[in-house]
Amino acid sequence: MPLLKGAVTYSRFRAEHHKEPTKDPRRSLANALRKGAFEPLDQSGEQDRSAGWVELEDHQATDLAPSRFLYGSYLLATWRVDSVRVPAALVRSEIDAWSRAFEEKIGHPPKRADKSAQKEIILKKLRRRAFVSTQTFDVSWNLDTNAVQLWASSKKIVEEIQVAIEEAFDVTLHSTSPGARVDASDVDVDKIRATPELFGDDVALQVR
Amino acid sequence: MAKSDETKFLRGELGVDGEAIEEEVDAGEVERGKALDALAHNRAYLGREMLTWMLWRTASGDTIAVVDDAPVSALLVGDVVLRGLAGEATELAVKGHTSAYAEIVRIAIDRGLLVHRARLRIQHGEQVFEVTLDAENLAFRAANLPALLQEEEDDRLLERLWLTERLGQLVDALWDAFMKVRTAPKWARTEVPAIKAWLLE
Repeated sequence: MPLLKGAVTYSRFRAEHHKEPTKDPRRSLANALRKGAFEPLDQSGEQDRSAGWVELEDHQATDLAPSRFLYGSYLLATWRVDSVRVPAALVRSEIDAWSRAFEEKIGHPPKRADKSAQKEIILKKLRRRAFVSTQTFDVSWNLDTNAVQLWASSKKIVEEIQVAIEEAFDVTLHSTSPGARVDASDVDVDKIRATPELFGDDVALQVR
Repeated sequence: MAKSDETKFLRGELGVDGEAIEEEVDAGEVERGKALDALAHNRAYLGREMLTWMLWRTASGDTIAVVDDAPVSALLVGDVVLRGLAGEATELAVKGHTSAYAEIVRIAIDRGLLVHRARLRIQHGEQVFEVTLDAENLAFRAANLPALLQEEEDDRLLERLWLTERLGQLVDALWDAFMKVRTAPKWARTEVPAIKAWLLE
């Protein structure tokens, strides 16, 4: 749980609500989290990845009752990502073995369509045997200040959680990148073009 | 001309003589294009200007901002990464505890490579924070917070959250201090010439 200990690495956002808060915000927050609650992967199915909300202090728990995600003025929850990875080399070696057996039995190598059908069968079989890898990423949201912190370093994961929050809570998360800060301010963009003395005239001219 | 050749011709992949047109891709130009895109993305150029300005400002050890009546000062510690376009070079990584203040860094900045990623030690009153910032997102990496004072687990969690938000406020204050100068006429009149003079010291 990086929120309590470990590396402090996170991206910062400011949440902007699209609607007025409801009469029972605790309930609507719980509903929003539960809608996107984590669902375990069905290893016999087609899916090889599942992501959703779990409780901060118990990554198996998806009850997400207000008492489990509200800490003072903070909403704290964890985004859990489970994925199944079947090593490509293992798939290839299984297909090669099957192709050899096929050729010995039938007398000619399998056609491309046969191979790809067999690949699906092999993938399904190996997926059932593969370990599920679990990653968790904490989210903290100060409901008083609307400061949101996504405790992840991967750009892809940060974007995924950002989208999940925006959809679930009907908010826009504004990043704190220089561009977003400028967009949110009333700064005249003509005054903040790249400085030619620092970047060089030709570079500064090309950066907009 | 076979149908597939005709398609290739229409796509500009084959010439009228049926021979393939070799389009030479200049790797240097591609890299330059990428570097320019990276500079514009999220206005990373402003982030680089800010970190470079911070390097210059912190060399003198001055207070840069004030938050809740306490002064905020900073120092660049640890490795520093410079990016931009300087001849054939687009990135320079310098390692060492105070490497940001090394002469080689000033030379690189003078040639157009600005600070893209740096680790800041921020002093606010009695409290000391450290954080690695990149110019593109100003996201926080591997931050060190002041020691927690609370003993109960729930209290420690809230204290840690409070400290992370405090760190955010301090970085926001540094950004605001930079933007205040950056959007004023004094940026071009006095700050940039002073930075350029410091680079040549």
